Amino acid sequence: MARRATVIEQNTAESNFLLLVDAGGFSRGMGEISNLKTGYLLKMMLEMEYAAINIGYRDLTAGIDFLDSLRQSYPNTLVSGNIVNAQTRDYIFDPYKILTLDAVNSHHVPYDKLKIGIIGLTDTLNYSHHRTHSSIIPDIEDPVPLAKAWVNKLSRRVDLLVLLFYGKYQTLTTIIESCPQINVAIMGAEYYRAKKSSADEMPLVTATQALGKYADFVEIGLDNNRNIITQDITKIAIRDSVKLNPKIESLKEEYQTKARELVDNRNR
Amino acid sequence: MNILRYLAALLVMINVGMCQNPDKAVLKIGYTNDLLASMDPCG
Repeated sequence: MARRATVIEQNTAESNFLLLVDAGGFSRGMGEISNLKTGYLLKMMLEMEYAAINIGYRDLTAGIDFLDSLRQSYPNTLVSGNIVNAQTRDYIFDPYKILTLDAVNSHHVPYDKLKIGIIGLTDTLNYSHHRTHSSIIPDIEDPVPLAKAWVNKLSRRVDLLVLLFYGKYQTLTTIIESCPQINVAIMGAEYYRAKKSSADEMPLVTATQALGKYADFVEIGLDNNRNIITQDITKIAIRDSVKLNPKIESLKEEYQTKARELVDNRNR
Repeated sequence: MNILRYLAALLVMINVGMCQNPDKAVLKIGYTNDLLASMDPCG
């Protein structure tokens, strides 16, 4: 992550607007050390200024109470538009986010603000709730009708709509067909099935393929009326020679110390 | 000479005008997925 942070910083300097997102599948699972690792990974992502992180069905294995504590620690970051409390049917996380991005070089841009809507959804595939001592029992609602509902709610309020989706490629295809207002879809889980979109394909569907080895970017050119005129996908190799971001590196060291302490305490 | 000065000034004005009235903005979205399956993200 420390090298990824440097690559992101170096490769976004010339863009006018910048957004960092995660489509889900970040959690390391259940248990003290796994939770510690997930917690530090999230800290690193927040340090890198991720604007939204989608909760995938696999992330729920970390335990809903733990995820809820992360939601409270990092408000307005974790999103899910279809994970609900099984008893109350309330959404556990923010279903969507509306972000107003400020232009970095405002005198080189036709406008200095861009409004982005981000919706998070997950499939129900392979999901089974770990019935532990959680105070909340999560349930995953069908993402297809909910996608339509959230898109209808947001599409007129934003300049661009980004969908973060974790699940089957087939489900994503169904969502996209019923929601033509989505501009960019980033997916996890069946990421290997996300084909590279061509330049004129709408919406642009993408996913990181070689996990951990590249920093991936979508570059979108917008005209005076904020309409998409160009779109491209680029990936930059994260080589060992890349300088480590000192803040992320220091978080990594902090994590390693705490993990060692946990193991030592266990062995006593 | 005056004409040359006038042309030079005109060129500067055109350049400045072009910079101040760009017709395109670029949005860059950095993204990740499945960090769980990637190499140890804390490593």
